[in-house]
Amino acid sequence: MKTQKMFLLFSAMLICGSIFSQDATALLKKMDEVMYASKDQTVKLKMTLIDKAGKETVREAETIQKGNDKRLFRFISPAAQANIAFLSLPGEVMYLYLPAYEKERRIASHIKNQGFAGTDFSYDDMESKLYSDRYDAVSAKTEGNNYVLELKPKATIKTEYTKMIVTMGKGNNYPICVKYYDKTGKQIKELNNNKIEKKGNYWTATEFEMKDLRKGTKTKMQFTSIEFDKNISDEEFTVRKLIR
Amino acid sequence: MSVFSLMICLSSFSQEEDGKPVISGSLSTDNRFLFADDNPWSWNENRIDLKIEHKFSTKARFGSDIWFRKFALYNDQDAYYKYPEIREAYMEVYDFLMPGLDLKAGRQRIKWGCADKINPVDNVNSYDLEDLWDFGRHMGNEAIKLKYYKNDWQFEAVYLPVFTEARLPLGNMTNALMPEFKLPTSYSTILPLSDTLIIPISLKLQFNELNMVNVMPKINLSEGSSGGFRVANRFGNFDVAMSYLYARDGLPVANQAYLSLDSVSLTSGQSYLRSDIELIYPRMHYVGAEVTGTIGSVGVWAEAVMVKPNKKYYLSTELPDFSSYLSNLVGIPITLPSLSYPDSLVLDNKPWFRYVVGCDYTFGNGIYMNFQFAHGFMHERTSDELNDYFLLRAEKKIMNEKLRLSLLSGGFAVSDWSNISSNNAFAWTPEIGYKPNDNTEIILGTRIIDGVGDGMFAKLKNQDELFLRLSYSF
Repeated sequence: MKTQKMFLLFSAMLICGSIFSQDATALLKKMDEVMYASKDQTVKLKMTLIDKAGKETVREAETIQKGNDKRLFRFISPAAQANIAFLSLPGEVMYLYLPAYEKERRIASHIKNQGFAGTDFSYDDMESKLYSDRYDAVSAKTEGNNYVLELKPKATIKTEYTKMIVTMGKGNNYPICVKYYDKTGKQIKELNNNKIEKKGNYWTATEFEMKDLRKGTKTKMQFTSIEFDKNISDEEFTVRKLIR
Repeated sequence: MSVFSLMICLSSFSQEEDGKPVISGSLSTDNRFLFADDNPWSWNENRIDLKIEHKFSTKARFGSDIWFRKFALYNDQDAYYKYPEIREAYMEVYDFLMPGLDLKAGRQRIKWGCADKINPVDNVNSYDLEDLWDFGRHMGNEAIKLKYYKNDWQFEAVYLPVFTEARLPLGNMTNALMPEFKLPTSYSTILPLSDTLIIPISLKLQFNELNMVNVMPKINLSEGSSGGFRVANRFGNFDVAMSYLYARDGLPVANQAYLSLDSVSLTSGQSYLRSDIELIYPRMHYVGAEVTGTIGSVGVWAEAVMVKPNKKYYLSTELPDFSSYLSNLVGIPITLPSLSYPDSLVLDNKPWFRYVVGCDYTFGNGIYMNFQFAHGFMHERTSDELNDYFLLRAEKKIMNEKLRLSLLSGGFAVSDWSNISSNNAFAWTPEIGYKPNDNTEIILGTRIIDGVGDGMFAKLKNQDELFLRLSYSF
């Protein structure tokens, strides 16, 4: 009798766990749908790099994104960084354009975990990719008005992050905070979406901040303008446009 | 041509919404001191690099790059100014005649190749070897470039109507690329003079003076122009390109030597020659291949070019008129047998291959490493003359990327594997870069060079130096 009860309890736990895992996966997909809801977006932004001592350096950039797998990012200022551009394409294909060399360069995956042009965002972070394509949601729980998901990278994905904890709003399914962990289980970075607004039909973070907990630095991004659904052509996401 | 293309394009797009001209560039100073006694300056260059860009709507763009410089060099007594140098001045027209086709006309730099600064296939523009340590620098040349993009394909055709020779090294690096000019062996043999001489003597010939005279190709379509094409695409993890170029080499070969007698000593038999050597620029076929991509997490690239001269190039020699010289010297008519020297082959038309293979990787601790192996440098010709170079750069950025340490950096060269001990050289070129702010960089470094033999690095072995560069971008 006792064995039967234990078996039933264990089965119930397994079933509940399975359902919960499915919920977590569904939540992650919902988050992707919200984050990549627009057909395309055009953004101008101000980037503030804050060092350990609190000293700030300001950069400006513009970026266009189409769907969930094409993004072109270009620095506008300061002069030494102006026109450094980065193109992310489907299939983990990434190109970097450095004006000093006057030609594009294909980026190998070893550089993906490195900081992008001195910021706290890595090349990996700069890629335009669905979370659900790269990570499995292994658990979900509720905390007040938020869901908290635990993500683990899929076996085929090479990343320095071994775990991510994503806090997303129940109301809009938009991520509020993402915590990144390394292979030792230590938290190394944290992304906070400080200002989440509904622009037209779409939720978007117009101010966010990435902290590198190892270096004690952070990079703030503030959108100075954003436009959606301008029917940006695929032609804009090519090496031809990268080097212009 | 630049002005012509500029006028056409400006008139075409003047009605459209234009951007404002954008002026950017940098101020820099590059100072090098030899470790030799008194630490003389080996290089002092102060440069304003001014770039002006104007976009005409999204359809066209004007770009230019102008250098203003003041220079002081090793052994030069006085600093001198270089006149403003227009490195580039071109017009780009996008979707020219058809969607996806871009036209670029004017003085421009056309970069081919995927390797890191050492690019065997990068032969469209003439080499600018003025500063040997600035690997890969080329001149801007008048050219028309058409580039067509279709999906991941890129088709590029280039045409250069006028030939421009390479700019040779300056300062203490002048001789680094120059082969030692030797008197052909049969010149230096003792020439038996005719028995019409009262005193039988022989003459030992030695160069007293060498004058090089450049003979530039005519400025016309058949002699002065060059052209080529390149096709590129992406295949999985790799970007692949093939190219062909028919162009003149910017480094010359000796074509004709005119020898004249400067003086003859009848007692010692020693005679001194003056030689005027005519240099021409050989035409070459360049067939290139490039591949760059990723293996695992490692970035890899390979680049190769087959170079084939369009014909065999010979040096013809016109010997001095010994008879009249000696007649004048001794005051009696002397008739020597007519002397002639057979043409010598200076450049065979057999092809040779130059190539580079390389890889780079960033370790978990942030150390970036870049390794390249190069078979043949840009100035080396024919299979027998190609040397091997191993180049390494390790770099780590710290303090929020303000400080860049590149302490393990340099190269090792072997010019003859069968006798390495007599034909090798190394260069250790560590440097530290500091960025006090985004737009300023200060670089302090040194170059320690040693070697034996006649390779490029070995020729610079007495030129160990310390350098300091400052640059500010605006």
